[in-house]
Amino acid sequence: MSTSRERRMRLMRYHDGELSDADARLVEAALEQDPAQLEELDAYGDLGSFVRAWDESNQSKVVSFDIADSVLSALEPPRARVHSLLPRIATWVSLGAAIAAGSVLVVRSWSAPPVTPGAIRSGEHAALSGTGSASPSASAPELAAVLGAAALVEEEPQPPPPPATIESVDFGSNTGEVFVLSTDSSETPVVWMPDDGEPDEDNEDRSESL
Amino acid sequence: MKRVSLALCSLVAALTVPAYAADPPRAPAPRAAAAASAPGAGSAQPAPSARPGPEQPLVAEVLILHATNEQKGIDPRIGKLPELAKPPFSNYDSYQVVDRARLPLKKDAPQNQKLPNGRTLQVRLLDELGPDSVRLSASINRPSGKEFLPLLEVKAHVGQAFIVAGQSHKKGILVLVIRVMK
Repeated sequence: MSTSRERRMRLMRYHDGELSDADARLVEAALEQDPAQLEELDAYGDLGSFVRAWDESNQSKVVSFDIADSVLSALEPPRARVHSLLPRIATWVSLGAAIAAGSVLVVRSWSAPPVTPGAIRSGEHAALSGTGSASPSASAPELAAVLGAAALVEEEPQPPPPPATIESVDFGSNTGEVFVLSTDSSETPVVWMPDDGEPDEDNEDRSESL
Repeated sequence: MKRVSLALCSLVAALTVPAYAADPPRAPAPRAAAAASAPGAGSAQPAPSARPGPEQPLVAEVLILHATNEQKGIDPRIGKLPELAKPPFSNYDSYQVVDRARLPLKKDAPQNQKLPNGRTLQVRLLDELGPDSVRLSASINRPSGKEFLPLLEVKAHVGQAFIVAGQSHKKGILVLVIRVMK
C-alpha cells in the first residue's frame, strides 16, 4: 500500500526520469486515472524550472544553498526586531550612580566639620598621621572617624592653668588677710589690707594730678 | 558596561574622598584670634589659652579702682570683673576706674606706679617659670619711704590676676587689680 509520500516521491522521480520502465508505466497509468497527479507533475516541472533559474542567477554569489531556508524565508513573515534591554538598563544605572555620587559630594561638603589646618596642633597631627588618614585609599568610615576625632579634639576645652597663687606676703607693721575669691570663671587671690587709720605724712589727695 | 563601570567608580570615589578636600582653606581658629586681639582691655578674664607670640614682652597691667558707696554703679571701663560682686567687694556699690597702667616686667628692673593716695606700687619680675608663667613681687611704699606692704610674691600665668585692696581713699578704698599680660 503506497502512501502519499511514496506516491509523491515516485512522481518526482518519474519527472526526473529516474524510474525504470515498469515503474514509469505504472505512474503513467495512475496519471491517466487521476488528473490531480497530472497537475502535481506539472507543478514539479515549474518548481524545477524555478530552482534551476535561481541557481544559475545566484551561483556566483552563494556558496552553499539551503532550499529549506529559502522556502522558510519566503513563506514566514519577517520577525519583529527585538532590542535588548541591557544597554537601556546600563544607561539608567550609570545615570543614577552619577547623580548619587554628586549628591554625596555636595552633602559631605555641607556637613563636614570645619577643620582648619592651623588649628590642628602637632599632637593632633601625629594622631591623624598615625591613622593614615592622608591616604586617599582609606575607606570612608575610617575617614569619618578621623574627622570626627579631629573635631572632638578641636572642640575640647583646654584644661585651665592653676590659679594665681600668693607664695608669700609681708604685711610689715600692718594687718591684713589673704583669701581667694572663686567665681564661675576664675579663682583670684586677694590681699586685703585695710589702712591702720594713721594718715601718711603727706596724705593729700593726688588723684587730680594723675 | 563601560558607562556603568565609570559611574560606579565615580560613586566609590565620592564616598572615599574626604569631605575636607572640598572645603576651601579657612581662617585661623576664631578663639585664638579673639584672645590675641583682646588682651584684657575690657575683659577681666581673657581666655587662659591665649598664646601670644614669644617676642611679646611680659607686662603687669594695673587697674586702679576706687570703691565707694556713692551709688554711681560700676564703671563700664572695668569690663567683666565678677569678683566685685562677691564680698567683701560687694560691700561697695560704686567702682570707678581711677587709672590704668601697663608696667613692663623685666628682671632686675622694678617698675613703679604712683597711686592716687600718694603711695607707690612697685612691681618686679622675679622669675619666668615658663612661656606663660611668671613669679613676680609687688610692694607698696608710703611717700615717706615707709613700707605699707613690704613684700608680696605671686606666681601667676599670663591672663591671671591678683587683687590688692583696702587702702583708704576719699570715702572709700582703692582696689588694685594686677594682671600678667603679654
